[in-house]
Amino acid sequence: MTDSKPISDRSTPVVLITDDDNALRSLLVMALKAEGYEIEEAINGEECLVKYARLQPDLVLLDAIMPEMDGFSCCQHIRALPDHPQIPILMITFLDDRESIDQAFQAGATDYITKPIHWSVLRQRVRYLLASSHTLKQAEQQKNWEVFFRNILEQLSISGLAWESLTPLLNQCQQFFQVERILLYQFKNQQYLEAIASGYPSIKESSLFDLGLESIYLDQYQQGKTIAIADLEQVELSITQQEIFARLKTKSILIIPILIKEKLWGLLCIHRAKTQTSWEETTLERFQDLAHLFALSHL
Amino acid sequence: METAENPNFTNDELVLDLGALQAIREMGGEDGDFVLNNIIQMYLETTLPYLQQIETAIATGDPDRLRRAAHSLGSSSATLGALNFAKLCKELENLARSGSIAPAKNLFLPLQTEYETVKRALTLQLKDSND
Repeated sequence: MTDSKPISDRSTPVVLITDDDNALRSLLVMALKAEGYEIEEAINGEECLVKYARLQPDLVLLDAIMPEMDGFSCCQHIRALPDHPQIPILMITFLDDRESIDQAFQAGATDYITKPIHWSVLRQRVRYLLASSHTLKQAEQQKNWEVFFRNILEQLSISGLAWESLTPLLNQCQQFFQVERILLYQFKNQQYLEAIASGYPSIKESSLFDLGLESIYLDQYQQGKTIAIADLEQVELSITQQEIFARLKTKSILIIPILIKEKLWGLLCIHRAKTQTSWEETTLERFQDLAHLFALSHL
Repeated sequence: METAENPNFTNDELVLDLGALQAIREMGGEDGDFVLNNIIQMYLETTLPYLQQIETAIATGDPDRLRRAAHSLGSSSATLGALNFAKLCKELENLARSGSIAPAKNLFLPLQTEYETVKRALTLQLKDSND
């Protein structure tokens, strides 16, 4: 088992704006929406915490002084949460208020901006904070991935070569990547293994392993080309195939052909229950590494 | 109109940072005037109750209320470029924070006077943006 964080596939950063001043809040929304961010609003610290828990935003813009719960307390609460303590929190203070600025940093704010807001400074600061936070997240994910991969490698080296011994490893992969289903198929023995998230049906109920996609993608399989379909509705499928995918709750799929000595050995398929804008390149590469590792251990 | 003391600034510019208003207009793009009008109207609707709260807080010696009202009034004024007015509010907020309400009494009249000036200047902007 691993305590790694799920790999996020959200492409548009979500910014949670918290300010009790309606006029300023609407200007902040307008300024940051124009930058392409997804915006959520809260009018005080308490509402910010509720929305934070629900939305897991990428950045919080927080007015320092507000009625009910102020920005300082809210910031402290966020920092005390077990998950996502590194999220950038940009505090808004009024004029050059040294006391509030010191208090903001003590409460755990990443940076501050003063009212009146210089809109270009705000845009740059938000952009910079999001970019540096993204880099930090990637570094953390890479570290988690390396630990996870080493762990899988160790388990493979001690668990013997029984085909079924791969099932717990597939389950760990399903949890690490937070995907709904992972299937490993071997052509020679026509056998497959499956790891599914709880609440999702098994593929056993379907007669075809790759649900008939072989007829469309066999050439690519043989050339070792990964098939990444972010939205299955964008692919021309027969009604039967559509029904099967609907029953499996699969909306997005990744198929990695495994070639050994230039021959098609098997496939690693990853199912997601939601459509995506695209499959991340890093995710693709990590699944490709796992696919080859599994195949090499069962030649 | 240019002023005698500051030949490069008009009266409105001394009361309001017109650059701040222009930045809001630009942010609204094609709807810039409409956006600015809305923001000014929102401001004018909310400021009077804050002034009243400040007056009451000074009269009753309530530093918490004074601090909150002065902060809210000051920060929304700063957004619209009323910097002198915002600084007066900040002074009141700081006094309230230090717990000394007495000197705040001397600031209320200048605050009221400056508010009337700001209101007039903003109302003029409102007219301009309706043109």
